[in-house]
Amino acid sequence: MPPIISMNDSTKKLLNVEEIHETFAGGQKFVFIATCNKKKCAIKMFKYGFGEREKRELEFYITNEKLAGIPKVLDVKNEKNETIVVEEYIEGDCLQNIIGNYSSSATDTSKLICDIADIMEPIWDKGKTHRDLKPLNIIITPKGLPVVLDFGIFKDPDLSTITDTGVQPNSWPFAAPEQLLGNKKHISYRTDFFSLGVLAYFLYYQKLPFGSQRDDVIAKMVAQDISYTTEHDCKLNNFFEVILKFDVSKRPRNVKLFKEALC
Amino acid sequence: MKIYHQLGHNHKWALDSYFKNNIGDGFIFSAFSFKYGKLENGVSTYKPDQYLGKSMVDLQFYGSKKTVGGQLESYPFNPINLNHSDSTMVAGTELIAKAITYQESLGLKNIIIPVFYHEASDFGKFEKYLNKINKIIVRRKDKGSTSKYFMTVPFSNSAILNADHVEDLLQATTDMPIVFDGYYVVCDSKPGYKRKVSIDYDYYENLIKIFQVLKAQGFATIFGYSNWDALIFASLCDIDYITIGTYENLRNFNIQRFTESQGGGPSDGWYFSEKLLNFVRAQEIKKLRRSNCLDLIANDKNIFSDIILNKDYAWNTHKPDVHKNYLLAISRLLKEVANINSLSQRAIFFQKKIKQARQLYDELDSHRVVLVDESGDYHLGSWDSIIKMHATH
Repeated sequence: MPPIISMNDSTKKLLNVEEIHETFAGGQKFVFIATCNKKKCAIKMFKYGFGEREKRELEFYITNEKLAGIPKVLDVKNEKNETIVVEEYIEGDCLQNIIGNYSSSATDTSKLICDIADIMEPIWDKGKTHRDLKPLNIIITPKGLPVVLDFGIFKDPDLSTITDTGVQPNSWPFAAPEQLLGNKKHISYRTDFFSLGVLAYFLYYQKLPFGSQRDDVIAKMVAQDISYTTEHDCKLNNFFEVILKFDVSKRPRNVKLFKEALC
Repeated sequence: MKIYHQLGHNHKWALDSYFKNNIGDGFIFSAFSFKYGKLENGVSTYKPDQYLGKSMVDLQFYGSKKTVGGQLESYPFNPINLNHSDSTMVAGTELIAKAITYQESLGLKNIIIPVFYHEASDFGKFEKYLNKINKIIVRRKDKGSTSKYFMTVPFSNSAILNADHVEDLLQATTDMPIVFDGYYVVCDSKPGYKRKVSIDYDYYENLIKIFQVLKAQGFATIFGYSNWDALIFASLCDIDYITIGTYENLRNFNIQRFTESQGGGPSDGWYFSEKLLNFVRAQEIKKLRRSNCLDLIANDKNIFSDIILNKDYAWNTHKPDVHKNYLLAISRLLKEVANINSLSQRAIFFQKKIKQARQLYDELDSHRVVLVDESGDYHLGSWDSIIKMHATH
């Protein structure tokens, strides 16, 4: 499929597009922020076709449409054998762009992690794992609440894992040891806990706990070297201590214990 | 931390030590030694209402061979009575459910859920049982059961030495849907030749991890069939129940007991010294007496010790005082350790005990008394290292 830089008139007509405000070209898809049927929305068209990853993500959003804090699918259309997904527009800032707001703020960091845990709790309860929690996949709305994006590689114990078909998360900075070291059977909700632990550290200290190079981080994990630096009086120290465990079994076994570590 | 007697052969001694000498806090009855129907009708000279309120039962599903003897066959739901053709997971789960119901019918507050023994390579099967039984307990709790359910986690020696297996098992036993109140951990420590306790670092490392992780995740823990190396674990972990036992098969879990017939050999018995943190062979007592060193190792304020250290005492391992000396001495040591709330302070305290024991061995040596083999200080160096590696002080 050739790169799309503008939307066909036929597509606009199909979706009742009244105005296109912005366009983005991501790695896998093109996104048009537009107004359709008098409502602002995000129209997603897929560069390489509507594959397994996209199907899983769409099914996930439809199945969990009542959950707060994840994107809502407004419409799905098919045009010339191409699937077009229309999602509710999420107003706000990508966390990646505003990480500085959380620097040295235990209160703001703690609240954000807690809010993300609230979003994820019903998902974790069903045994599902996001597997790619990172600043780029989190939008902070004007009310300060997070929305978690990109469930394309979520793990569902009832389904074959998408990574079996070759799609691997490419977000090593926030990945857990079981992901980076390839221990797929150990990937669970506690993998997300670890990513949130790294995220909290990253937001507070504006750097990663186990090093800034992939190979260094992996070397530390292989050596079971759990050391990282903290400020003596950081209120998140207990949370880091409880969550940033290389052994999955040592991380909290439920959201209650996870949140208790934040307080 | 509570101390429970692991009851088996000659259980009267342990029961007497509780009721007459105030040793321990309760009992774990072993199905191997108590015929089906016995517990509800009185044991030894004691009536059920005297002991059932502070008892648990290990129904011992570890083996399935009828040749092992004991009373296991008398339990209609013991896997020994399962036809080979019925040995499916469905049938196994039904037996476990019946075993739970049986304990509830006895009015026990703490239920030990029996499970089949598995090697590390069979972990998948154990995990399936774990999740199936968990669903049964979810239903019971939903119906208002107030019993505490302790799932059995048996470790063969090769399994406890396998760190990957231990991690797999801990992930499964602490997974989010799990509703058990705790775990009954039994482990084959496999002491080496002429050893009574293990000196294998992996055994200590992995078992310490098990107790620490389970506790941190909110589960109560019972250390079944524990030997006096329980002192190390009590110094570093917050364990809820530690067992004490008379004969060696109650102090060291061994799967072979449930898979093949075993008999005990003749023995003059052993003297457990609180000061040496070790058993001393009865034959060595003569050596100690001749060198006027007996007082150095004798347990203080222990009537059973006084009896068996009398020069005219005819040593025999099948005499109650030999065992009661151990029960009193080990329970005192365990309580002394566990009564210290701070784990870091516990470790410091027990490290001093180890140091004193090592110094005592040196002192005996200066008196030309060299205790060897099981009676020697082979374990103290390992214990000292383990405490140092784990203590947070």
